[in-house]
Amino acid sequence: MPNQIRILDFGDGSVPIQLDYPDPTVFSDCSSYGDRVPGTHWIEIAVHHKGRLVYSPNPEQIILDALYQAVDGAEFFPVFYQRGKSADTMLARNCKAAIDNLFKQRLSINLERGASIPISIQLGVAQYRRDQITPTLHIARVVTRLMKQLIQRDGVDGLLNLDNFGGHPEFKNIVVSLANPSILMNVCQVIVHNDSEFLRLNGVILSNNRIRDVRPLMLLANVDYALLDLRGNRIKSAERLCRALEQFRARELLLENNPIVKTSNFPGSIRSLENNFQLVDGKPFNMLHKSVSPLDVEIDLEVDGARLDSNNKWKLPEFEYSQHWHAFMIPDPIEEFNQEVFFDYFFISLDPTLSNFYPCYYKYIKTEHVFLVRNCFDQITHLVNNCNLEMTIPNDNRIFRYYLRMNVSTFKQHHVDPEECIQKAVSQCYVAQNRMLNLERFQYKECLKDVVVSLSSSKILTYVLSVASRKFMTTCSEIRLCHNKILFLDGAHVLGMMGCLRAVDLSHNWVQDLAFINSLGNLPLKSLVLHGNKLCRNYKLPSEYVKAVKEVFPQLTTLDGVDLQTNPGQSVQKNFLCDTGAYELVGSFLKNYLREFENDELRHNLYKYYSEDSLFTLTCNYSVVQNHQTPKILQRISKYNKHARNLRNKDYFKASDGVFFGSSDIVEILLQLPRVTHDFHSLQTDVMHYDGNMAVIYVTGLLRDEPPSSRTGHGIRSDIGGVLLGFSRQFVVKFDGANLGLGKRARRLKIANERLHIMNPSKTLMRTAFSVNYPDSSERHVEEDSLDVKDHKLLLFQEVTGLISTWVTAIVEEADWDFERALKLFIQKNADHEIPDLAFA
Amino acid sequence: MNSDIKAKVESCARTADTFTRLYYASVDNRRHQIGRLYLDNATLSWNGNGATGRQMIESYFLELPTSNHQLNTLDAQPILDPAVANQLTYLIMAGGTVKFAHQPIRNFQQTFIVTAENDKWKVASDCYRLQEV
Repeated sequence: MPNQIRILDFGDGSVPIQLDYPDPTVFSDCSSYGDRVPGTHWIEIAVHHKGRLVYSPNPEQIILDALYQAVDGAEFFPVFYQRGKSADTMLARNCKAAIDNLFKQRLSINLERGASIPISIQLGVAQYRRDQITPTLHIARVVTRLMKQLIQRDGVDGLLNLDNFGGHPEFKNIVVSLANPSILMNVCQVIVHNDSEFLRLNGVILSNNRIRDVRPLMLLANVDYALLDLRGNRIKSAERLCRALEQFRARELLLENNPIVKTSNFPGSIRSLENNFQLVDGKPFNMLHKSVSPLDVEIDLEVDGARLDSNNKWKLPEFEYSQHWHAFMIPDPIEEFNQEVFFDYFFISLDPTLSNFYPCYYKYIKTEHVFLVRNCFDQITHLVNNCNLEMTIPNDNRIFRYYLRMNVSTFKQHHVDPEECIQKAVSQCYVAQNRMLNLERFQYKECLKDVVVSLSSSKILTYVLSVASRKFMTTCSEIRLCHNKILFLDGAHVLGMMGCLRAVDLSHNWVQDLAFINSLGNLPLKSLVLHGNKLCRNYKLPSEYVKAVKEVFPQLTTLDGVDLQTNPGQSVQKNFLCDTGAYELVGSFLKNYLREFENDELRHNLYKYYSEDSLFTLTCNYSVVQNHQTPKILQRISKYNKHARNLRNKDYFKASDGVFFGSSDIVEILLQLPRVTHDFHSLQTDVMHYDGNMAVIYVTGLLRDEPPSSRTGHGIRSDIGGVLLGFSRQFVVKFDGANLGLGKRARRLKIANERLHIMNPSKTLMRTAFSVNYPDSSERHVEEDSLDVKDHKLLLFQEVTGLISTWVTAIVEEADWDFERALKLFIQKNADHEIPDLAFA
Repeated sequence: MNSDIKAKVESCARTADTFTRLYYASVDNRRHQIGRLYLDNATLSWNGNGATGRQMIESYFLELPTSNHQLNTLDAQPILDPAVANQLTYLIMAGGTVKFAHQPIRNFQQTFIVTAENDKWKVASDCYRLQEV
């Protein structure tokens, strides 16, 4: 230290300090000042940084922070801080406790980043005289003035503004930082002692003060404030914060830009303050846990980030190493696409070989689809350079030009991490009791609401499966992947770790060829479900399909739920429709015809189905087992045999005998047949032909021949009850050309040919006979609509709703042919999005 | 019933008999030639499994196990619809028992719509239903 006399005159009316260094001892690297006494005179502290901090943005702050840490809350008000090339110096007095603490650390202070810097202390460098500069006085003066000038902000008044407190011009010669607990304590004391103003105080703004410790705020506690603004400080410890604010109450606490909000256990870590503050950073306390989209609260898309569009593509390389969020802004002024459709189109342009692309926080804002991505620079480069920031709609070749806002926000702790979300979602999809991982419609899992996980991307799918595989390695035996828009599954080897995996359900995906899921073939799967994929349409015959699948999956025993060990492609299908348009015809005509036939009182109604050219024949092939009931059964069968024919008998000249021609003959025969009840569940139908003029409909199943009721007058009381018979009926029906009714397309239906065949029922059918209860026609109170009326209803409903016929029929039937109910049902279903686009004509 | 229709019913009965004899002989013994009996655009529903077109139908049959059919009922009706008036079209309904290789004897029902093409009877649609045991 230069041993010369210096006079420090601060020019503020205070008495100058005369530095004359009477005691030459300079303490350094020691833990005691021996027999010297710090006293009340000025001491000088030198911090020997040796120029090491020259490149730091604010070396003075770094050094002071380290000093405040070292004095550990003891009173310490440095003045006359001087930057020097190799050492910074300052004066202080009346700080024995602080000096003691510095000696305890062997006169060395620790910088935040870990380095330590030696300091030296020289005692009594200047005599203290009254009215020399006194930091506490300065501080008190400034605080008192500010207390008289309480400000208003965001509609809240009575706020004491201590934002960047040390920056006040009055503090140019003293070092005032609220990071120094003794100064903050001092400030709080001054506040409390300004009695009249303190009563008006409605909140304190302490932002941007490098505060670590807010313990002194205890002095201000137990008053209900509107605001405590602690933004932009260095508060890190949740425990200390909670302890310090234990008695502090305010409507809102602002903590943004403090290290604490970036810690992983925030906001859970400040739970104990739940009753002290209603809002934290604008969010209700109980909402703190729920993620709020940064697009809603943090980002202003007008100004944040740098716009990148086709005109300034050259700027792209600047962002190569950016860890920040980038916003995609795709204009679609009339919101033509919903989120799902939009992404279906958008993903087409991605390059599947590049990094995983997880759009986050998707939102339609004003006229644009907006989402954020990060850590996918290669994909962005591809979209900018190869796709020219254009999204093409494949069907009509329209082009949507879009732009980006790069570095629109930094990544913060509470933002979504897509892969973390995936891991969470996968864990929640496991159904332990079934040992089944249900990833059906994966995108719709709650954990994935802020991130789009496109399983169309083979890399993302592989990632999801590898997460699944690691988590459920030894337990999972089945994975359901249905409805996920999967195109390829070429990373199935990751499932190899799942030792027990035997079943994979891939139904309703977008797989176009078996080759695209080849990789599954290496797993020991027993069951695979593939229906609802385009690849199924590559095969004309079921057997071809089964054969092709078995080539890839030789060990498979079940495909699409069908046991492959029985005849492939020859399993029984209940119904065959040559044309789906015939669906409603079969439903309405067959059901009505059979119901009207059942009831011998209504059977004459069938007259309407026949014309003068209609043909009807009856055949019967029922072999009777000999037992005690034989005579009675024979009696019942004879009713059919009486009118039956069989061309096997070859008496061609009599061939026309058993053929009934014209409506009256036919109905006469029908009325002679016994009363029956059909087992509607047993019916198998085949519609072999359907066009505008004609339809060919076959039905086979089980009926119960009912015992004749006593009022028929025969007087024979049957004791064998109903007899189960197999039957089949063949209809060739014609549609009358005449257009009827509202829709002008309703048609009257006439039977041209009909055959009824009676035979022995199969044992299986007899066992399960009438096991499913269909509403019995006799129990129906509502008069069944005739076919014509139904046709009208269907047509009218179709005109009103614009649905295609299968949907029309399904809804009207569901509403029991009540038109009003059907309309309500339609509106409801439409509102619930249960009706797909393809249901509309 | 007028004599015209009577004649149609009688000739239909004869056709049904000859056709079914040819048909079941082909199915049971000359399966590879079965396609000849179908129209190019014929429809088959075999226990509800559909196949359309002669080639597909032929390959469907070739995959079935060998069979032995026994006919016990036969019925047939001419389709009198004016739309097919200038082309004879018959509905032929056969029923009986069948034994497929390695399977028990079961009842079957088969309904054809046949039509004349170049003096030969060809199947326009064929519906085969096998009764469960």
